[in-house]
Amino acid sequence: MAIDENTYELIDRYLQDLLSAEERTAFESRLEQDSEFREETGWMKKAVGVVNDLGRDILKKQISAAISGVPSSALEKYRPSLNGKSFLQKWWWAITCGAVVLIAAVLLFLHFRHPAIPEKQTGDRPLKQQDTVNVVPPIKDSVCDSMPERKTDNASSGSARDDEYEKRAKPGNRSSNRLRPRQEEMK
Amino acid sequence: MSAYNSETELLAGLRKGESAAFRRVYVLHYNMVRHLVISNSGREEDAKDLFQEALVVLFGQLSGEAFTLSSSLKTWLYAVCRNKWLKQLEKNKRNVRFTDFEPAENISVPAEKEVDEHHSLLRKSLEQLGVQCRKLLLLFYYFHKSMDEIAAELHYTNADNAKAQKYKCLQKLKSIYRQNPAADGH
Repeated sequence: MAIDENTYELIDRYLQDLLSAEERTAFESRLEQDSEFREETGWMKKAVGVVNDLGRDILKKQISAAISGVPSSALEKYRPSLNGKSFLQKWWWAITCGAVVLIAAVLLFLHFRHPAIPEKQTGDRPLKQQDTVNVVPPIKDSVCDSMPERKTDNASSGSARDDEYEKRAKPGNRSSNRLRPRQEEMK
Repeated sequence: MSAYNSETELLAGLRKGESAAFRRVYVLHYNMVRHLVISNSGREEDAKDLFQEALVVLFGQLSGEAFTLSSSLKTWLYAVCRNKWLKQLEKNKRNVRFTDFEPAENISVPAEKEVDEHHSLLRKSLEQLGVQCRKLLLLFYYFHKSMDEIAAELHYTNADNAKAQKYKCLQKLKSIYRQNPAADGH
């Protein structure tokens, strides 16, 4: 049985998804029952696919011809909506340089914090820790001794204060320096 | 000044396959695609090829009755080019760190059909068909022209005449195809 023009049109409409629900059901039922119709529909589907393939190739050539004469200066400049690169991708070099400088600074600091200064010679023997000059004279000798002793019931509190003075006046104790201006003032 | 003052007008032009519409899209959005491809291990030729393919896909989609752009043309083009370029890189087995420049929308692109022996044979048969017949089939099936438009363009007396010619052309195509022994059973 030869497929007539109207049947081709029906197949066309089926392939383009233009049939109504009822028409589609009838069409699909015929597909199941009629092998020649099924074969013809299959062939048409392939033929339309090949025509569309050729169409795509032709359109691509048409597009290529249409845009070939456009100078690049006529194209609109593009500004990305996203930065494109992540923070790390964009600034990796700066981060690396910063890390190198930081490491170098730490190393230099560690190196110079305890400098290997040669021991200072004083006279015939090297200076030792116990030779440290006592820049602050003992408080007892200078000021506290000349002050009248305060009588108090709580003797322990007075002696505790003395102890504290002594402790502050000890050589090497930084806080002793804070007492110095006052001692001089009192003198 | 462009003849397309809005995106709707531009899309209407693209749907009709107007060269000026394709040129306008190229002017507006090509640099975006170029930037995407070149920043992701591609070359200028790859960008041009990809852009043209995306426009072909767009034309195919616009021809569909139900198709409407859910986003702007720029977003659609970016998403399609991005998907296609990712597939290309995958195909070439090139592991590159892919960088995006626009928010990537999930837009599905029709998969490319695998070409078998019968498809190639049918393509050869189509090329053997007369120019007029080939044009008629292309205008009807691919460019979705009406029979009236086809009649006017191919100088047939009327739409019915064009329709009758289309039927004859399909019969002729089938005849050429079936002359080949490899086409048995198809």
